[in-house]
Amino acid sequence: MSNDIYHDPIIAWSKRKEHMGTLEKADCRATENNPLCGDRISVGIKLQAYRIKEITFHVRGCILAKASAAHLAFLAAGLDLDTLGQLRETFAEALKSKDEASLFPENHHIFNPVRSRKSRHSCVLLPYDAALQALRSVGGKQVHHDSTLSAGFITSNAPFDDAHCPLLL
Amino acid sequence: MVFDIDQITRQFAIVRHYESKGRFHYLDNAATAQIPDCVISAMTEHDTRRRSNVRRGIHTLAQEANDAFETARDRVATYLGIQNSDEVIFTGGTTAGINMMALGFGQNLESGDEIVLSQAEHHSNLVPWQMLKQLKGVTLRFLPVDGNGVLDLSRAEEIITPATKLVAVTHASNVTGAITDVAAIGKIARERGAKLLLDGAQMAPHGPLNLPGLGADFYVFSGHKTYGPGGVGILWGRMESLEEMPPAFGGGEMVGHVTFEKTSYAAPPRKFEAGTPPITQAVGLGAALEWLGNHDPQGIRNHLNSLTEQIMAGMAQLNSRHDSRIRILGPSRGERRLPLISFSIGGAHPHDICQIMNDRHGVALRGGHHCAEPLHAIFDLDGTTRASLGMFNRQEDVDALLNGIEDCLNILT
Repeated sequence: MSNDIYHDPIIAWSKRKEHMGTLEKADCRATENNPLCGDRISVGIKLQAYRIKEITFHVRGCILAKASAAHLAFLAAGLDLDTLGQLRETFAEALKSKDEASLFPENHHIFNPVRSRKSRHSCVLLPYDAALQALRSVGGKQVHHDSTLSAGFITSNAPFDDAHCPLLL
Repeated sequence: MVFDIDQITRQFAIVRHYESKGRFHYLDNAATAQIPDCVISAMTEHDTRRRSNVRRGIHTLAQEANDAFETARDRVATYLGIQNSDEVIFTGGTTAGINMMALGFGQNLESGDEIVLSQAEHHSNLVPWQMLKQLKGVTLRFLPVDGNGVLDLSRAEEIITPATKLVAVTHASNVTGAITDVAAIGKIARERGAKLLLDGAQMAPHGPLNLPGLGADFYVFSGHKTYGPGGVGILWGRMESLEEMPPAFGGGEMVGHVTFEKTSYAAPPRKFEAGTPPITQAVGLGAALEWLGNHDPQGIRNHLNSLTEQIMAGMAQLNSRHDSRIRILGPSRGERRLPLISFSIGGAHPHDICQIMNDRHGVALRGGHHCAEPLHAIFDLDGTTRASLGMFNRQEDVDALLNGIEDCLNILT
């Protein structure tokens, strides 16, 4: 893959709108700021049995932050506080790694060119930090329970794979 | 010395280094300017020949270090156009100088006293006064800016009142490049009995200055923006103002006589230079300002104004081809401004612009709110991208900038 940070998949992800906006009746919300650049990401999450059922971001930020938020929203369904935290740490470690062969989690390899730009790591991690803050605000637990849904059943956002996302070239 | 751009450029080791490696278009001089060889040599020579503390020892190195330190002070005084070099105080930089003012000048203020700032200020000339407001209950008032970011003085007579003790404004904006009408503000301040402090961080590199003629009482600027080293700056004050002002910091070197009960203070500048000053950096700053002062100031201005005009003309041409997506802050073409241009491109984020400019065009810019968040709020912008010129910049830097902006227009909008 080219080392061009603004390659087509990143641009395409940054333009995705389906998980952007304000989520009505969210179980938890949070806003994270990047004081270095003034970027701000707000997130709303609906939970189902402690897991993310639906997630929506509002991003005032750069293309990387927007792309990362859209990417996270696409694969967040079913994650809970622990698994999202693990995903964030794995992603952060891959970004920091000097090993070109290091594996990014969950098809995060589109962010490989970001690795060499340390000042931009916080841009792609900001959506994760916002989502984690939201989950922590309710102790990772569901506060708006919908009794029609069974524990662990994911109703939105099919599991992520390349076949679901033609943007991953 | 007649201004010769090729002769100037050859004096910067960093330019020579990167020229051999390819593209190098450094347009972030308003953040930190590059440093010429003579300044590096002056500091290296000091640390390898005369390194010692000042004012304390009687050994040879201490004497020589002291001489070098005071020679640097004299060189700064010459650049600032002042006769009495004891009015020159070495600080850690512009921010440190303004904080010294808030802590020192602020000691004589009380609740109800007013400090007048402007909407164009860098956080460094805002936050220290907000902190003083918390401590002393002083009132902060703000001179507005017009649509171009120029200080609008139409309400200055109303805002600067007899309760105003200090007017603290930028000499030139780090965002818009607008240059303040110091004479007009100074006249009103004097009529009200207020002192005038100028934040010269952006203007000082475009000197030499004539501070007594400006009508200011205090002036602050940084070494690293004036082709000197970091970690050093200057607070200048009229002697009578410095004598009235309590010191911000206490410690060694700033004293007259010390007992367990009380301390009398030394005369300026020692009164304001507690502890060991940044000696090597001061030597470097003195060398930088002497170097700057030895060049033809009008030649430098003509060179930088020409490049600035080319950038603005080029942006106007790009706007004609791209639906006017470039918005330039600050004074219009042909009006007086610093050689810096802050702009936005459609809805593109400044960091995306800076990244593309760096990665694809080798152009170093600054993006964000430039430590002037309230000013950007007035312009209804989260941030801007800034190109700021130094005297070593050339035509090819302008060409690379404009090519890069067109690339950004195509990629990001």
